[in-house]
Amino acid sequence: MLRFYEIADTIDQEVNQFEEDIKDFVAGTINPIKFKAIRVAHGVYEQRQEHTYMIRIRCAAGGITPDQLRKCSELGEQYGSGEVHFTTRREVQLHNVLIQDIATVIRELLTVDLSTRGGGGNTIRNILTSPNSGVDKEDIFDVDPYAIELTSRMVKEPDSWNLPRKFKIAFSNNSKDTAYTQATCLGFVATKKDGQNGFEVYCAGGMGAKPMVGHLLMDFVPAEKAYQVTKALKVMFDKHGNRRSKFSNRLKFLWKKLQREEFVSLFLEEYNKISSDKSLDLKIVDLDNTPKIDASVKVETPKDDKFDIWKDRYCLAQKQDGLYCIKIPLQLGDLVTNDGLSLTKLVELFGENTIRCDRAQNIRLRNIPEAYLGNIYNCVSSFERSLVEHASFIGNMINCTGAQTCKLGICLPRGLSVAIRDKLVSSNLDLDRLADFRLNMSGCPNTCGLHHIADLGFFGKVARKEGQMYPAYYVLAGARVAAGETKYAEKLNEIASHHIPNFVHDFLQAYLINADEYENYQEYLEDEGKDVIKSLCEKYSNVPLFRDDESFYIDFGATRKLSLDEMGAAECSAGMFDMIDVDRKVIRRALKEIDAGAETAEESLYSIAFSSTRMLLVTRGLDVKRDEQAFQSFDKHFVETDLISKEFRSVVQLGELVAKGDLDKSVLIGKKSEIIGLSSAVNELYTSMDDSLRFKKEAVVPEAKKTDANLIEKDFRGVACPMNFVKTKLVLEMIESGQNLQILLDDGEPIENVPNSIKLEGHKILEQTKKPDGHWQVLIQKK
Amino acid sequence: METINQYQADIKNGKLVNEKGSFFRAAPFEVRSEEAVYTIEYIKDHEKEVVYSVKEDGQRIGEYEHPFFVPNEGPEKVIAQFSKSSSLFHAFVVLNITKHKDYRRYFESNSDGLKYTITQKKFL
Repeated sequence: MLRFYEIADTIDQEVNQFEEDIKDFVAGTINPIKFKAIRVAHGVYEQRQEHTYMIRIRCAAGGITPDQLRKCSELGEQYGSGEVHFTTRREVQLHNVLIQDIATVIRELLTVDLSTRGGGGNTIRNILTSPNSGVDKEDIFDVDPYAIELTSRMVKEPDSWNLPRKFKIAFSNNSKDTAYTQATCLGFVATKKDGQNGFEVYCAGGMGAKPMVGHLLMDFVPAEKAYQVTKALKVMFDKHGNRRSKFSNRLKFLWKKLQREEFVSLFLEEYNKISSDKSLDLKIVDLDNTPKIDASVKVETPKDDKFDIWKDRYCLAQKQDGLYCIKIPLQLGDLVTNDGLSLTKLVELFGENTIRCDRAQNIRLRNIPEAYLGNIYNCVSSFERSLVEHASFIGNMINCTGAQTCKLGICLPRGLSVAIRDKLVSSNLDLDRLADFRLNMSGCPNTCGLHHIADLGFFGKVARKEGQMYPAYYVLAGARVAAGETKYAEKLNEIASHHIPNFVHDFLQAYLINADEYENYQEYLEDEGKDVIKSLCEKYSNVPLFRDDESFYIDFGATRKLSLDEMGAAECSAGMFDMIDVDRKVIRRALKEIDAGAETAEESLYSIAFSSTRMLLVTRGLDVKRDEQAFQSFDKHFVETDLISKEFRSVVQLGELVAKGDLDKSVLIGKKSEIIGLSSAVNELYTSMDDSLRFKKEAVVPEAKKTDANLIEKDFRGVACPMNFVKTKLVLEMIESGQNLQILLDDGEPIENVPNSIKLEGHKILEQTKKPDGHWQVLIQKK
Repeated sequence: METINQYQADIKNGKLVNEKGSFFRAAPFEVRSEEAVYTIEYIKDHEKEVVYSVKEDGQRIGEYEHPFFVPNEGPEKVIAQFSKSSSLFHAFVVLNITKHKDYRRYFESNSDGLKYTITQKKFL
């Protein structure tokens, strides 16, 4: 049975734990910030509508088998929005899932070996390839098997789940770089040297609000060493990446900070440790791209005379004789249930290796014998929802989901995409001449709609006229994609959302009139296209007053005036610092209330005292369930260790008594200056913390605990990740170099995670033994 | 068998006077006043959009959509039409289900005398 990755053995335990976390969240014993950090790593994102979730499903190399896609369609119908959504990261998502159904959906997906693990969060994300790799006449070699084998290894490595930030990997099958390797953290471009398959390696690229083009890291590495390259870069990122600032923690920022020489040196330091270890080489199993059709399947005659034009637009001969790959253009990336079920029923007749997701949110079929193209046509042209009757330009338009479901969205590019489509298909433009044109749009500066690599791109912004907000977009153009030559689109101007359909029409019309005079679009753009864009933006700069035309202030597909009321924080970067921020905000708000002479000053003072004591506990691996525990733990780990002055001990102890209900909150009124002083001291300590959670000021470890015993023993059974790691790290900080620490850990995620993380800190794992009752004993020697 | 409540609150004269447990907005709950009993569920409608579906004494009376989760008409009109529903929409404001300014403002000066209880059973 074909599968596009293997699933880690620990997945059942992880899902069980996640289900418990969901219950705790619903019961109010896990706060939303902590729950966010847990769920995003399981590929579960909260949509713009609170308590309504999107589940992202990994599809390595964009591959999904017919039985897997059928399962997604069934789950989408039963638990989601009645659709499977195809993304620009070549994976699929289910939307509108309710919290009580999340665990069920994840378990059902596992029955067909699909996983949501690492769909979000600071993890190894879906590994991409060129969409036609393996069937492309211009293949250097098929890179899909590399992405598949690499995924199977990465999802089993515990250090893949707690990186400083998300880590994206792509493989291109040739130098045209259709996997956009220079726009990703780590990219491999297939090449040959002396007849040997290998890769050019690029790294530290990325799009987003601060786009950076990736840099050449290695001009040739043997193909089977792609694992060692990935592992080394991952370890290096784990060690040196910035965990503190979620706005500058992608790998690209590490390159910017270190610059080439130091970055490469640190990478090579890791790579050289493992590069010659042949046991780590990727073991590649080629994918079978031969026809699998059962001879008994009847060849169908196309149902109408539009078959030939469809074939011209959407079917491409493979390098395998007689076989075709076929693009199925989806409306806005959505495959509705009935279409999904009819497609999978047909496609499974052609084998398991037949479906790929592509980056334009469409489906690609492969390995279809030419004689059966009519069967495919009859199926897809009967879809409830598709764009199959249009020129491929229409289906190639890319848009993110925007403010419809995304918390970061400003505008609604889905609505805009429909408006542009309606305008263009009703025009006389010959869109078939624009088959490869990339018109990409995102609802905000983040690049889910790939606007940085667009021929013509847009990303959403808020504009104002006389104080009234209306939807608008920045206009970009001129990206170039090719290995070693990638250049992002240039921001040229801005335009109101409601003018864009006419703007796009006029621009494409101008281009098509003049296109024959130029070698390519780039040349046109440089020579006159940019000026055309600027003059059209000028032409369409008029914005009516709100009182004259309210509809201009309502985005395409919206029912009310543009508003940012429901915008939220980014979902994927949730973590420790988000939890700290919760308390910092509470403190700031309470201080303001006191300044404003709040009537309930005792409540505000209690909030300051409690949040000040809880705020940094997470850095010590501590999680408290009751208020008084925050005061107790703070006293033990911050006051006792002199990280915070002992002058604050009395107020901390007072807070504990109030928390227990032994004293009334009114006693805090007389301690106002001490409580505010405590919050300042905690904030000062927080400010002094580095990206790896170390304070400038060293904790004074009580002498009694600085034992010179040869072996320290700690029992961390029942302590969840990553708290078990933080606790281990703290004990190691207290003992001398060369001393041994023996810890007990639970089976599953803890034993998979902690020893590796400890090794990354430079300590030695001397022994790791599974005990008869199932837990693990790990012996560590401090570096 | 005794049913365990996750959350219970008493509202008297429009003020929250007694609150116990943790309210979870996506779980079913009940608003009970002398005039009516409302059961509210966070479910998918026939178009698979997630809405608050409200039943009054067992009869479905409305489905309220994101982002405001209240009827499109203003509170004056809605409550004039269905006077019993004051407790329902007041509860939506108290529980922070709706952030609609008109409803919040309305109840700032129209909640005297409102008396009801909110109960949410243990959900998962």
